Amino acid sequence: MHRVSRAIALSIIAATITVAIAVVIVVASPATALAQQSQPAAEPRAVTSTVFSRYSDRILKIQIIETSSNAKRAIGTGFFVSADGLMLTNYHVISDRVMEPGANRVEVVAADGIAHPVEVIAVDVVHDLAVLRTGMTPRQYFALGPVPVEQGDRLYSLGHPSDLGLSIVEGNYNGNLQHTLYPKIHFTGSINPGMSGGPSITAGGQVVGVNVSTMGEQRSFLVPEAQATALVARVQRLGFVPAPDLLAEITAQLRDYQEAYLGHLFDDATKTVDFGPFRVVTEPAPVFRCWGGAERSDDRDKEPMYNEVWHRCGTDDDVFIADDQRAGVVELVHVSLTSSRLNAAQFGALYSSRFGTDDTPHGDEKHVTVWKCATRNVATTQTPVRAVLCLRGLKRLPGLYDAVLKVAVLGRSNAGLISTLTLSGASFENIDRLTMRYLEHLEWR
Amino acid sequence: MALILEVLAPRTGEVRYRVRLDEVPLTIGRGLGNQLILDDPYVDAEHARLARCDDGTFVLEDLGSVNRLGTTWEGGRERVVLAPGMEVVLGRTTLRFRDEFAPVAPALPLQRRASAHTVVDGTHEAGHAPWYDRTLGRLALVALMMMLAGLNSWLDSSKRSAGTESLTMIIIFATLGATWSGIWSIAARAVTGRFSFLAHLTVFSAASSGALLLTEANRWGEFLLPDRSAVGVLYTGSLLLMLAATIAGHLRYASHLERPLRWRAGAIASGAVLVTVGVFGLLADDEFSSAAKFPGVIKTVTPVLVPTQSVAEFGAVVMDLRAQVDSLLAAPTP
Repeated sequence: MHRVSRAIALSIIAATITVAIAVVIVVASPATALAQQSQPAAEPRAVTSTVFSRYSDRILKIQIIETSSNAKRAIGTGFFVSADGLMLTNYHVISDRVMEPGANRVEVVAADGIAHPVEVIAVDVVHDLAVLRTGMTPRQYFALGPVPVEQGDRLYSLGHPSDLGLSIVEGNYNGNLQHTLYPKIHFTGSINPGMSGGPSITAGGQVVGVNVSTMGEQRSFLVPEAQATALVARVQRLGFVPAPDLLAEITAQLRDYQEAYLGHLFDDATKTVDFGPFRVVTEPAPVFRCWGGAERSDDRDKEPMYNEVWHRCGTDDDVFIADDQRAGVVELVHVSLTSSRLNAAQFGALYSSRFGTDDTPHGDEKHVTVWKCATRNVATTQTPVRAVLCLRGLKRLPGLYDAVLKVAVLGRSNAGLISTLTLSGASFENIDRLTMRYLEHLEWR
Repeated sequence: MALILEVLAPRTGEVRYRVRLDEVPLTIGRGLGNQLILDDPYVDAEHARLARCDDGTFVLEDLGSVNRLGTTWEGGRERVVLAPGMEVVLGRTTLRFRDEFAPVAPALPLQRRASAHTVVDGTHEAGHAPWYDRTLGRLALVALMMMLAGLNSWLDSSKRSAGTESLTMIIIFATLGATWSGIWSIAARAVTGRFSFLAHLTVFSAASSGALLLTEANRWGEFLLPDRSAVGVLYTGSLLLMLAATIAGHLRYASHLERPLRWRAGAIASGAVLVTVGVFGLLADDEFSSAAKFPGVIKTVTPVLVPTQSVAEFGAVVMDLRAQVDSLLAAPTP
């Protein structure tokens, strides 16, 4: 009896254990399944290493040597695009050499660690590309040409981040950015400083774009292959002679480029928007994006001393010319001030302090002259305004200027509008035409 | 020959009074029983005796005083034989002896308005003093200064605390004025023997009020006529003129200088400030700055009062700016 009961007890225990194990297995199985599903993740790793080993010898480090110290001041990446040793990189990698040819030289560091002096023979400053003649004969090179890619395709970006050695980064192709003045590919991968000028390629080794910049958090940008192909094709055309003066060529490129987008700014069809007691210009072109906000002067519980509202329109991209110097910036900022509590003199003081604030872009003595400003009270068709125009010249790119036009509507004792138009790296003709149009065609109500 | 005795004030050396030594012997001391009384705590009640010898020479004899007699070349003497030009020190007072034939400077022509000296000496009656030398007038100017400082701060503020700010500004101006006038008063006491604090505070008040009004006038000028460099020149010139006037004003109460000399001193101070500011300005101009400078002042007045230009005229201004920038570009870069 005892035996039987013991046997029953044992069998119950055994059954319980069995069930428990079964439950554990059943419960655990989704995890197992997931683990099995994620197994293929190991596969791209293998592809990545294959991509790296197969193409890394086409990609070299570029360094800018400051001649007086004989030490590098900047590094970047370049890759071979022809059998005769033409190398593609970003303009911004070698801009020091173009801006100050006497003080800098460009070198390419071969796989064996030996640095070879190279020559900058062509630039496309708008798309941030440059072609170097290395005089080397690469074993392999990237043949540029159209690549069929779709959003989500995996790309591999190669380069020398922060002089840490050649690295590879994976990411996804996300198509061209919208709202840009010139095409840019959105690449969701971590491009880092130093990888600039390196290629982003498919697993098959076709160049989709050239690494150019990053916003951080995996938001990186590539210059599309088409721009690179066009520049390399220009260099390879029969009878190509390197421009004797690259600065003059850059100036010409910037001039041509701005005609395309500055030409139609503030024409009669420009959109306007209600803005407090005023009506102002907004989104002067599709590439502009506008943001706004309001600031109350103080405590929320009480009636504010004054209200300040802003509306800012700008393009997301500009053209890199040198550190501290950009071109192609067009920015429009409206600030409205209204008050029912300040007296006329107090409002005037507030208005003056906002209008008198200097918000012109900074600049380096190497690249720009000082600002020259003129202030006038101008009768526009709608209302008298106080207008300030500040102008400065770009020292190395003759014929191009930075300008800031600041306009304040006059005549009210409790409301004011300050409108600022900033243009950088523009020709004087464009600045003149745009400031005049801005003053003539603005609706101030 | 008669000898003239001059009593010189301690430190400043100015002549307090002169005595013709006809009635000798006489005693000198702080005591009221002397013929010559010296209000000097370092002088004995009966300090010295001045007598004439048979040969006609004058002698000064010590009467056993604490500090005895001193001459310019040695001290502690008991007896000094006097001669014209000699100085003898009793305590801290200097006695100087002069010949009756010593030449004096020709008379000065009378100034039309009362000079500082006569006012300070009280030889003019109060009724004849100009308004700014009367207490009521002075207090009015001080009040005006404080009111302008407060008003200026109040009209310049867009904060809820505008009233507090304006009170603070009044206190700042009052403190600044008291300190400034205090320094001038101490200087005045050393030179003229009088503090004249209220007079100096009046000068400060006039100067501050003037500066505040000038600055406001300049803002209007900048707003209405932004293209006229004359506005700035006029403002700078007026400020410098006012600085000269301020210094001259202070010197009126702190020195015995005549008016042309006071103005000369003011002009020199003004010029020194101009030169200093100019030199600093030039040095600062040498430094590259990417900041834009422009008169940002806006006055909220009816547009009818504001002289304006057409957009086309503004276009010409822009052309002119280009010429300026191009000349900078053409200049050789270091």
